[in-house]
Amino acid sequence: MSPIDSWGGTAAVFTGAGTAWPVIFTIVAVALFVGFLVVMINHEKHAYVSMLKHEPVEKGPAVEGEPRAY
Amino acid sequence: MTPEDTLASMEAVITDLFYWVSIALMICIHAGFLAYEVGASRSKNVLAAAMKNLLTFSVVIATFFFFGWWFYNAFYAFPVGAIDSATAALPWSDDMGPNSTSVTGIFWGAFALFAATTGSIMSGAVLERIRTSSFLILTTVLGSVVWIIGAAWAWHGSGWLLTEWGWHDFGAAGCVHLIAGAFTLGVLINLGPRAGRFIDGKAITIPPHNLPLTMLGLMLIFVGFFGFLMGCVVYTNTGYFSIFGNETNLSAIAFSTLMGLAGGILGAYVSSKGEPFWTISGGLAGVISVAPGMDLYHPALAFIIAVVGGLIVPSIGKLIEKFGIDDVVGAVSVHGGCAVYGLVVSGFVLWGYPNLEGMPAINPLGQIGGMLVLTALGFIPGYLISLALKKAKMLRIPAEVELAGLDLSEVPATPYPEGIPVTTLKSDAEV
Repeated sequence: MSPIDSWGGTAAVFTGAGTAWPVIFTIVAVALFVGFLVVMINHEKHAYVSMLKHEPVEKGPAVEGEPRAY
Repeated sequence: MTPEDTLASMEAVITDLFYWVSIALMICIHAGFLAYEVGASRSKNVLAAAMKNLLTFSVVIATFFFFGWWFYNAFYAFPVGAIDSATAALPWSDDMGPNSTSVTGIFWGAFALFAATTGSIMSGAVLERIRTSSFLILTTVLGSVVWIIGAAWAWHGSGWLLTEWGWHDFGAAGCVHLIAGAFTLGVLINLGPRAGRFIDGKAITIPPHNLPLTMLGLMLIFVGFFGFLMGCVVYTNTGYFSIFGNETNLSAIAFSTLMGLAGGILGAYVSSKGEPFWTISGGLAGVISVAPGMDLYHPALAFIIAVVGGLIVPSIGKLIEKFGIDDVVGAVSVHGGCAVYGLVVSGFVLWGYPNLEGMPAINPLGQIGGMLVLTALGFIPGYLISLALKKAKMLRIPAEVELAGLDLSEVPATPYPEGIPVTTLKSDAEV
């Protein structure tokens, strides 16, 4: 993905400069960002539903010092 | 390499370094907001407050790369002229990456930190009852769309508020503080107060769980402000300029920033009768009050303006409270209220100062008109988007979760396992 053959007279030196790759990188990066938002919304929903049902949010025994289940 | 080449190379290095230091110092603002909000929360919401700050930082920086920087470069003439295509600011352009001929990254970085600051300003006001996901959607709109359009209009060498109305706002009181404060007000109206904050219409104080941490956080924000204001200076090989093109230097900013801090703290101490939260918030109030003209004010005048800013800020907070609005950290009063005050005052005090050739001189109508434009630019999207989130039942956490605390539900960790009580249960209290 190198856009240059030597360091003489260079301008943009980043991976894929001057090709379609930066567009693809950007699209994938935005998709990852949207994925983060989706995961976070699901995590919130799961946490709130668990709490309303008086169930532990996480599986397994409570770690020492953790608060008792609501 | 000729001496001229060496000199040009060193100038580029110093420019890079100047903004690099500014970026690093501005991260102190975010460390400060984190400490401030953690301290201002009750012990049942401590880690959720910290996580919200951390995610604000990440979300705004990422989206500012995806589209925020483009807005700044494309919208400076809007709505008077056409939208510039600003192709060099698109995330896949040759300018937006490691480059031998362009220093775009260092300017983008400084602006990204300004953007994250707007999100942090809103963050404290909505503590303890907003859904983190909806907050992040709102902070993306504020940090990577709304404020940066305001910056293109009001904090740009070709921005239409400058070229058409003679606008002057050295320290970004309008595009950062006012827009963030107005946007936050719009969100708070739809979000509603914390449970127990108002009983039979009477405001009940919900004390922060760690006021010393809150005060330390504000001191960190003060440190960060030196980076913020350093980033407001355009450093070139021919000297320092404001973003509006007039000559200035760091010496001017040192006078005004320190006198603003001092005056604001003293003013707020007097009007709040020594209440620690408002007294230290007075420091921010003072700096924001003098921000529009801090490249031009005499230090003693900056002190006077800041004292008045500090004097009025608790009253603005009380006024907002009378409308049943719960602003946990006083963000609307400190950032929005003092920016309004500072911009109006600057219109009269700086009246007649020239702008660059061909542009109107600084004048009261330009400053007040610009203030109204930026208030609307912040408030309207904040209100409408939060209203849409509210209608979709995405804005606020469930009442039971609010009562038990966010740390017990969405954060898989415990803030103080051996010390401060972690949460308030139903049997303990209703607030």
